[in-house]
Amino acid sequence: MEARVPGPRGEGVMEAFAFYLMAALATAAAVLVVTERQVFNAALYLAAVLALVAGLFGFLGADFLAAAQVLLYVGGILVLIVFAVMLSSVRDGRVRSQINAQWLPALAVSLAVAVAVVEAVRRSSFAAADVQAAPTTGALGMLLFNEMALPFEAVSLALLAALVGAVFFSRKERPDGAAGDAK
Amino acid sequence: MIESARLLKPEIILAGAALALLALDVSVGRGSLKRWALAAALASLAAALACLLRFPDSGRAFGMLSIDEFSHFFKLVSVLGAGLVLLLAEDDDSLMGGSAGTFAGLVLLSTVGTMLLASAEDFLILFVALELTTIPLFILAGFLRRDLRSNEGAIKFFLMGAFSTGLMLYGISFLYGSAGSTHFQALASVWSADVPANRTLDLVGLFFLLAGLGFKLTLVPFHQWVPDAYEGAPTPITAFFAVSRDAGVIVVMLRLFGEFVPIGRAGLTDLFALLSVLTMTIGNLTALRQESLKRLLAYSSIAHAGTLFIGLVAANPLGREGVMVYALAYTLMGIGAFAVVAAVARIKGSDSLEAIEGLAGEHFGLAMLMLIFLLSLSGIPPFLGFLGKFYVFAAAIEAGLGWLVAIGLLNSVISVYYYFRIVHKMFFRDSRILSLASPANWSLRIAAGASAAALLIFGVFPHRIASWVGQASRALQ
Repeated sequence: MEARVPGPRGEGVMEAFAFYLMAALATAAAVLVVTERQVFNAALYLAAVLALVAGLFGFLGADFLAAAQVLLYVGGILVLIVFAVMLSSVRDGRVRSQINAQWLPALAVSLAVAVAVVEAVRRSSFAAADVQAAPTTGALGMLLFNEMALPFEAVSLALLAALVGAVFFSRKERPDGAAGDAK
Repeated sequence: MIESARLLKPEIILAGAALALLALDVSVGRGSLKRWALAAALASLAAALACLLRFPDSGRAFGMLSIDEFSHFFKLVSVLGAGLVLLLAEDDDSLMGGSAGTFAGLVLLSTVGTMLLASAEDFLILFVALELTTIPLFILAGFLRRDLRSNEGAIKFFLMGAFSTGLMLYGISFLYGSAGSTHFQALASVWSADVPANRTLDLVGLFFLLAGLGFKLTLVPFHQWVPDAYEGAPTPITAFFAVSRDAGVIVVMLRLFGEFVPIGRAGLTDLFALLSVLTMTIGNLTALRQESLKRLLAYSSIAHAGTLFIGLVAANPLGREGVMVYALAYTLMGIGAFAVVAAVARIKGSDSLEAIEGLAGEHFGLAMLMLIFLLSLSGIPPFLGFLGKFYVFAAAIEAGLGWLVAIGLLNSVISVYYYFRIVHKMFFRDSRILSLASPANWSLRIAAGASAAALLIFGVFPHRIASWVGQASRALQ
């Protein structure tokens, strides 16, 4: 499997090493996001995960996706999360236990799923994608407004609904219980 | 592309109306808004309905949607469901009060998602449409912002929904990695190849996909969110929950497993049958012990999902027709039953089983309507609910799944017990709770009355719907 890392410049050992290193780091950071008890630190680990995933995207020749990942997730969403953490008073994170009574069945199910997935991937052969180190921005733009126009529009409706929901729930309520405008 | 857009007229009308309604809520003063929002939403639904009936175009849109008679049927069901739900909500001040535009707009957006699902034959649009249909439902479930039950139900629904979407996406990524395309057709070539290819990855992908869709289909063991979300949501929205399931999610599965991935060849028949048995049995057994009308109907809704699923397990044209009849029937009788619950909750100020005691003595019309819905829900002729059950059971027998039918019939008997417990309370007990308000308003009466009439008419004259459904299901291979 090691030989088939689809790096942009062929299949060298160095590329494979860098790819797996980034993947391993991203996984380790993702585990830390969950196990870290302080929400703020967890957010910082999340930043590391997202940045490393951006690196993986870049490695696979998806330059636009890598840039968008950095701009939107690392730059935008994460800053929002950090703001939310700092503005809300999350203090009791340290005392709360991070597992509950269901941990044993949950662990069993997770292990079973992990074994199934690993086994499935091991048994399958993947056709190596033909990746060219060409800029993808133009092609993506064409796709979004031609073949993918419908999902693009549908997703904009879904996001609009989510936005409306966020506004609805965060609006201040008038004393009579009806939702009013935030002043 | 213009051709493709032309095929999506009903969806575009509804999406446009939803955008206008959402804008209306912020720009217009509060006073006259309520009537306008309801009227505009109903008008757009009527326009979409007319579009579906008068111009039943067919073809492929954007290479991802199959617009055919099969999808038309389910689109009609979802438009009908949305219309009935809006009528139920008409006098509910918490929904149609200050945020009427938001409420109606979200209902329409969710309907657009369901309609896209009914045509989807590509994983990309399946995912996007599923999000479009559930995100408004998350918000609508928590629409009563001051009600703790509403908050709890919405949060549970949202977390479970997000998790199941993640599982589904993970599965889709496997299927994409194996087939190299997100179109269902690519999967068909994987499963139809005569060469015994290694399909482990596809199978794992299908399992994840099934887990994700199972949440939306309220299949056991993915059903835990249902009772809380159904109980906490405003009653008209509770009635709306099942529409996206019966007219959207199950349709995608019928398409995927009927046309592209034969469940027999994928070796999934036993698993699907087991899911169906679990869903029917656990739904019904838990419904026996409920003391809240909404929770009881929520568990019975789970049980109905199990019966509906039999049509998919049978994997034959008759099963497909069965799902169509059952979806129409459940939409009518489910919304109808919740309409009566909403009326009772308004009159008595409670949705416990106690509140419906003595309903026949005080409001005979409501009690008779509820009787019709309950008879139809328990599958007693001559109502449409019976026809739906008859179809799916016949399909299962044709597919050689007699044991599944036996369990299904046994479950019907269990369900008769708890449905008739409600009937008994309505007709043979005296009311112990003081009435607070006047009986239901005109729009709720229209919605419930029309549903009951449709259940009776289609049930007594089944040949009309049988020929319609038979013709429509032939659109699929």
